[in-house]
Amino acid sequence: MMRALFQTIRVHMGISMARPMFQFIIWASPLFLATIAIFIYSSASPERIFHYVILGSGFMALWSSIVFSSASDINRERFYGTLEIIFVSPIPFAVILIGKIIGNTIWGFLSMVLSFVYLVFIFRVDITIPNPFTFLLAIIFVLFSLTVFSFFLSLAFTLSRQAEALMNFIEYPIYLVCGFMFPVAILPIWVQPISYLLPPTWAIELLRQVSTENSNNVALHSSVLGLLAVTLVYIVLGIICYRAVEKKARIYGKLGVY
Amino acid sequence: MSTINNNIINVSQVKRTYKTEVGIIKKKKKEVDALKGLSFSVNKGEIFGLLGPNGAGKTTMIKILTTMLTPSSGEVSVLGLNPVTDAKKLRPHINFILGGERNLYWRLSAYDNLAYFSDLYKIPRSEQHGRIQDLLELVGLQDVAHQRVETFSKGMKQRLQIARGLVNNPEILFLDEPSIGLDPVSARKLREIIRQLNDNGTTILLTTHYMFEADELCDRIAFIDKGELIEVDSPQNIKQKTNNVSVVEFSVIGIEATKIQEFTHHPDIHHVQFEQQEFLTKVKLHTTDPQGAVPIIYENMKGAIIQDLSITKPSLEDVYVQLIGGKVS
Repeated sequence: MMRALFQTIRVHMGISMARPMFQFIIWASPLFLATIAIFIYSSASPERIFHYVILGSGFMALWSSIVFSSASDINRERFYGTLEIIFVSPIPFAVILIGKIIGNTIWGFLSMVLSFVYLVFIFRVDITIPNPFTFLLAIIFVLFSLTVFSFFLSLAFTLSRQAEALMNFIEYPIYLVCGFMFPVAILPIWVQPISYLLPPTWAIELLRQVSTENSNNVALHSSVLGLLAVTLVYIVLGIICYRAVEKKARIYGKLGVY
Repeated sequence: MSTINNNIINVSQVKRTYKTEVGIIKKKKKEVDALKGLSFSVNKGEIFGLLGPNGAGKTTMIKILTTMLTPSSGEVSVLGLNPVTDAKKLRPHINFILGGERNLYWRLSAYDNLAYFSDLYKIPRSEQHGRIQDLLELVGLQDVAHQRVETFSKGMKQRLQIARGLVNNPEILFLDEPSIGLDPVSARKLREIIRQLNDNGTTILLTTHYMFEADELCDRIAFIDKGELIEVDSPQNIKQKTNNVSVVEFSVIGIEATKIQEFTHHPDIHHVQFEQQEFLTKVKLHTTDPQGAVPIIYENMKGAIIQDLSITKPSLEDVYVQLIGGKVS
């Protein structure tokens, strides 16, 4: 089982990187996003630049990669004619799906790191993380949470042939609703509950909290608990959806239709 | 070929209905019955052919047997297991190949494709390398093992698919139109591989449009049409069932299709098949009275040029056309 998971990660990372569009998303797009962000926040304090430029643009890169892992890859498997094959192989479909998502999350993380490096070396942005170890733990937690959310999204795409359109539809609104480049508090009141139902909102909030010099413990704990809660909710939803997909994919019989 | 009478696939009264929606604004639900109570069984060690026109339900049946699809009703058993409820137990023991060039990762090499699918079928690493080499040799791709699949011809991709379908050394191999679109040499090579697998004990269920292929390979065949079973027997027996029927075949120049269709009114002519070509029309008549039919042909086609007239026994294709095609095709 673990070997199949690691092989899926390896194979998937290779196949993804062979596509020029994916190469653009991972290597070029973050640089554009980071450039836009630094021009917007150029006169802000170093801490604010770290929160809204470095984390913001890095998160956009990470999110784009994860959305691609959820939607396009399932659609691409459908197009290759391999979706049916992996669906009925003895290795559970969930393991293959998670392998793909982890593969894209690794690429997304590297893309995020590239964005950091670009901002530090080209724009001389100062990065000071008060507690690097805590920040590292937070990053691991964030990546886990985004993987869970991505798993949930990808299940919807397994049944839907409109995944590609849906993917494009949700890519940019998530930038806005989850406050990648500004605080969620400035969004209209009616949008904010939607923001807090989505793990990326809590994820970026947690990273901002752990990288704040004199972080307020209450705010830090609430972002940890918030992310933990939504992650658990999406784990439960993911399990429920996975069981439904396993059953319904065989009832609808559309895995091979593209 | 084995003749052990030991059913390892049993299909009883299987129905499958697809529900689709038609229209954009006012959506109407539409139901299509792909299988309407199909029943047959496959013996261990045999090559069983499922034959029928497009839309007959062949692929649907294969998808049900390979755990990809749930039947609407009826009972299915593969190796004594129910593909719906025992899918996890059944999957390691079977494999399938869907026709065409897809179902592979084109950006990976042939070897990497087989290695990945071996992992998905939980083949131990210690066995993988040797097995992959053997499979590549079996399908004649050992020299291009490390080339990307996207550089392969259609025939090579289809042969690689055969290798993929064998990574777990399945007890039953399902082949859905495996020779579709192949050139004659590649198709012959594929038939050799199928025979070799069967000689080694693999039970094979295949669907095909090519009657000579089914005649050459299959121990038994089932004709299905519009989701219903028309006939199931060995190719020999099926042909013998039309023993009193002869095929009168000829080419004709200078005649209209309506004139050919008039043959259907003759009581001893059971089936008329014709194909309009550039300068002539090729006609086949199935009749129980070939000697009587010949004068009728010349009588009906006065003024036309009749060439290459022959009387033969029906081939499997003739029987198929007669059973599936109705009075005229």
